[in-house]
Amino acid sequence: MLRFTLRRLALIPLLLWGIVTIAFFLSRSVSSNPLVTIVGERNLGNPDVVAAATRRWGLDKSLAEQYWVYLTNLVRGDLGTSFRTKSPVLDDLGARLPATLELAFTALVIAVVLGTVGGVIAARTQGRVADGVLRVAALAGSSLPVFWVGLVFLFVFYATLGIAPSPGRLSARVIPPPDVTGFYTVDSLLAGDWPLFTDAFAHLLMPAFIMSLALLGTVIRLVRSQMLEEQGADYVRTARAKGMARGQVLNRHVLKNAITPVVTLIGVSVGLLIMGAVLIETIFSWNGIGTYAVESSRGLDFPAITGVCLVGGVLFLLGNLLTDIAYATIDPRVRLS
Amino acid sequence: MTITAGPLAEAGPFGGTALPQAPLDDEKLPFRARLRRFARPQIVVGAVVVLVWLLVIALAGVLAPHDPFSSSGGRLLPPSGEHLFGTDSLGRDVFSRVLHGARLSLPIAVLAIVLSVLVGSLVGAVAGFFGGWVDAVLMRTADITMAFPSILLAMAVAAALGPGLANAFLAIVAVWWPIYARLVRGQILSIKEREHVLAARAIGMGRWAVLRKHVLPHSLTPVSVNATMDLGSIIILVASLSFLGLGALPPSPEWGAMITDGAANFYQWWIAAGPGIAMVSVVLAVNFLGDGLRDVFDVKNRGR
Amino acid sequence: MTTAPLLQVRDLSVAFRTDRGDVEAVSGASLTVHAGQTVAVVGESGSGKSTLTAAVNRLLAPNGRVTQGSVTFDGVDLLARSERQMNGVRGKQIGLVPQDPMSNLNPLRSVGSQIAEVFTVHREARGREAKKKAVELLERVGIADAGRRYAQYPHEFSGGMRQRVLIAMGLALRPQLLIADEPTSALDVTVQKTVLDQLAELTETMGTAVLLVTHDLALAAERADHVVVMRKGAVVEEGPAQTVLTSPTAEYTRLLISAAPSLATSSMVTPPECTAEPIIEVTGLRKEYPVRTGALGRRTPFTAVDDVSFTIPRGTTVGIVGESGSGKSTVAKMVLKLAEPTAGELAFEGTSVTGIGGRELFAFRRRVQPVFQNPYAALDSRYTVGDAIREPLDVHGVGTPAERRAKVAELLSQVALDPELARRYPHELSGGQRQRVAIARALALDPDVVVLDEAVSALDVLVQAQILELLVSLQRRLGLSYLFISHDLAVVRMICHVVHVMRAGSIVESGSPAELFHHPTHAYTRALLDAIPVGEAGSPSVVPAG
Repeated sequence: MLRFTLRRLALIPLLLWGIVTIAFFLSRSVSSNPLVTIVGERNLGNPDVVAAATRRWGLDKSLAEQYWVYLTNLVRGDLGTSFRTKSPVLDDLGARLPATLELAFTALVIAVVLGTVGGVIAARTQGRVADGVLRVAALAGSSLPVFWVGLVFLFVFYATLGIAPSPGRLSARVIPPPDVTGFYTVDSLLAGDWPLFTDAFAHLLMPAFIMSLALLGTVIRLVRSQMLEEQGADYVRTARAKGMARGQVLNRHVLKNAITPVVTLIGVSVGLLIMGAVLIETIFSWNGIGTYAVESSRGLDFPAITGVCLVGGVLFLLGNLLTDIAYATIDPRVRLS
Repeated sequence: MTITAGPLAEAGPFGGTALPQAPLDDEKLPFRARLRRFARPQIVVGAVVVLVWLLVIALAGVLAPHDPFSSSGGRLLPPSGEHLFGTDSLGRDVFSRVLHGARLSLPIAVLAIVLSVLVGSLVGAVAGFFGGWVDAVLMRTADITMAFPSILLAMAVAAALGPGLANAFLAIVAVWWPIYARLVRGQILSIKEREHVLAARAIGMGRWAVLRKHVLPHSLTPVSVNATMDLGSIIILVASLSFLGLGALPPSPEWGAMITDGAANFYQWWIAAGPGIAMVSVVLAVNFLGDGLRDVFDVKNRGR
Repeated sequence: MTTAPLLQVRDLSVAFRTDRGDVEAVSGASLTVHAGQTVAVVGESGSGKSTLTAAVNRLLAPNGRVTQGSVTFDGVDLLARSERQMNGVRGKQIGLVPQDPMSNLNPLRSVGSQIAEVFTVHREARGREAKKKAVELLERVGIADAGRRYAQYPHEFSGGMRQRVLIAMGLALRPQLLIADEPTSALDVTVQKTVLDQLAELTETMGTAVLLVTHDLALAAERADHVVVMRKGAVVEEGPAQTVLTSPTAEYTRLLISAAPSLATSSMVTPPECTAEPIIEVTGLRKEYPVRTGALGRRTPFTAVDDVSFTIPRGTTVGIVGESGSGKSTVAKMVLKLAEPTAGELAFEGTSVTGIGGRELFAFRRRVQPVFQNPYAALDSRYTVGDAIREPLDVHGVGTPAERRAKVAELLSQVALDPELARRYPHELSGGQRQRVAIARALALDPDVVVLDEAVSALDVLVQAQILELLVSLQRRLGLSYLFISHDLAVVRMICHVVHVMRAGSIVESGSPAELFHHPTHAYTRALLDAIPVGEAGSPSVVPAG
């Protein structure tokens, strides 16, 4: 088991290096001039400013040199400095990551819980109306462009009906809780501030739900198909021959076996959630990695782009690793192989 | 003593048979019986909607009441008889722009998936069949590409290449091919061990010939089902990139770009509603189609 | 017996709803089981024997239904009972031991908990009490260290052990009737015997009636008091076991008896007049696979074949017999040069062919051809029968296209198939027909040697007999040499001139079939012989020389 984990961990640096390299060279191969972002449009005409900036930001060195500098800094934990914000990329990311994680985690929980319940119901009522409705809903969930749904929801529930709160993590002029984890919901609970928690949570709900939609559909379909498949398995028949009623077999045998593959989804979902984050955060004025990514790519902020890709890659690989470990824990056959 | 042909051993009453079960893929039943299998509601609905959109793509010029690129009325007008989806910030008819947008969003997506499938399948087939270091190198590359959250990579590539729909297309293919490489490789690995492949090797067939004639054709079905289901995601991805400003540029009536415009004019809901509804209808239809197709092939494969 | 029967099935008919309409699997079948009696239901695939028993404890597949007839158990009409009442019957009054032990146990739950479940479901015991009873049962069915093994998972047991677990589950509540559906067909031959012995001992002690489903007539006669023979859904014969075996009334039963290898009285082949020179010579063949074992991932080699040597004299059939893991299939692959040996020499017609490649290998392939086990998997479903047979000719560029087509027709007639079948697809043919096509394809290049790897193991016994006859007649006519791989010693005896017994990678004994059967020297050979069911409980096989 340990060996298994170690082997997987060993692969990660290789993959990360690959990501960093690709991101680095991609961002540097842009034709437009990043200096626009660094010094501003007006100063471009001033040769002294341009020269100083070029030197300061290491843009006068060759591409290979820049790459080497970047890698050596990276190993020391320095992701460079953002062209836009002028602060270390690592700090920028650190400040914004909790917001995205809070959103993504809530979305994941919603998707898994609602999805599993939906899938079980669909499997149990196979062929009947409930099953049909759920299957269509699942398909619809995967068919909706997340950013558009966000707009629609905002328009309907916020602008028109006034039920949902305004976009953003908190209502206007509300002070965030003291920073412990960076998760407003958790921190406000830790500070004992109930009204603050309610506010943060209310703001979290809609974007998280929308983000969960794509994953929700997949979970419902997966759970449903797994349950149907397990129901036809030989050991189900043997269980029934022991005298178990259909419902008993479902609960005691089929359910656990069918849920297992949902675990594998968690690894894949990281990618989906990051995509959702990028799109949703923009619409809901959520100050997380997503908005940072969009602004960085618009502003050709190389270190920031590379940093974001790195973070994204790490999250993805960690997610996969967690999935593998979880799978090995649940399925004894994997453990002992 | 000739034995006349008899029916296949049906799946046993308990769900299993003592004899090896006949694989039911690629069954060549009489044509009409095969066709009937496809007459599921999902497939029919999906196919009809897709057909409608194909007509729109072909006849957009004729169907659109106004010129999508020039102003045909006042700005930001709500929907009316004259402008079914109202007008946008530059006074252009949203409905006409939606119809013309289909010509951009949909073919690009189809092209992207086709290219991704071709590239990915080739890589996966070579990796799976020949194994060894070829496999290792190709799959590591695929792994690294897949470790990139797709939207970030697409954004990075699109940013590097510059805005424009063609570049967005390339970005998507760059992101999507590993999925098919993995899929096809997995298929090849399992098919490779089947007895009919062994039999082909035993008569002295060359490796490429075996791959071409006996291995690849069996992986067609899962690949095509997967591709149909992916098409919807790609359509959305194209629009997403445009939404973020990395794909189609104004004044292009591409749906994602139109929704950006709609976000900017939030209270004029019709600007975003038009392209959004259009996109949802296409993607839903394609997903229905793919889901139905998968059901058909699944059922056949399991004999249930 | 004048007492009322425990189980009475009258005129039962069962139909299944399929894509192609309703299919009747059982037609008007009747049988009787008395308390403590063992009744065997014998038939080939498609005979309806499993469906019949599934109808008894009402576990038919969802698309199946009883269309007529009655099932009376202990005086009660089972078909009229509600599902809830049936739940009470199943496991407690009627137990089931199903066929495939791997798929019939939940892989994610411990073995012990699955046995204990029988008690808890019927409220006979709970918690620790149920666990105690389960452990006792495990001991009873012969699983050592039962206390510890209770918590282990199915994949940690061997096939035979898993089957014993299933037996434990079936007999846990001492049901009056036990349905055993091909309980040992998925197991190795030597394991089969011990498991069946165990089952017999338990049911005798408990006084359980057994409804045994099997495709093996000899096994049925050996283990049952009463035998029911089914064919295509109907009962064709029934009676006391020995009577059915020695004086059958139905033509079909007679066919079954004459086709059963274990009951066969003479071999199909005659020994060659003079010892021919060897066409294939295998010396010191060895195959190792690198396998990662141990905590640190050390690569220790797994030896599948260890120093195997034998020859195949021209025009004869050499058989290799072994159970799973014996290495026999690996040997076959090496002779076919589909796998390269780690060490050892392979010679063809006196010339060494070890390690050849390219053109020489290509030429070699023409002379040595295979027939594999699984008739469903060996032919590519996307090509017609004619394409499959013609392919070797295409690859080697033999003759013109017209000549190849003619050759295909000729080959089909040679294997007693209608040449018209060339246009059909594999799935339109039965298992036996597909295997004939595989043989025709193997003959296409006029090879000298045909390697048959479990080529008849997946076929019904009647079809098997026909294919064996075909193989023997082809050998006589074309002077072919065969390497015949099988796990079934009885089959091997019928068609081979020389037999090698393999175990764990090595040959443990060799000789002519007569020698091996009358005077086995190795303990393992003796164990294999013992395991062959011969129709008479306890009596050794009597085989006249030949």
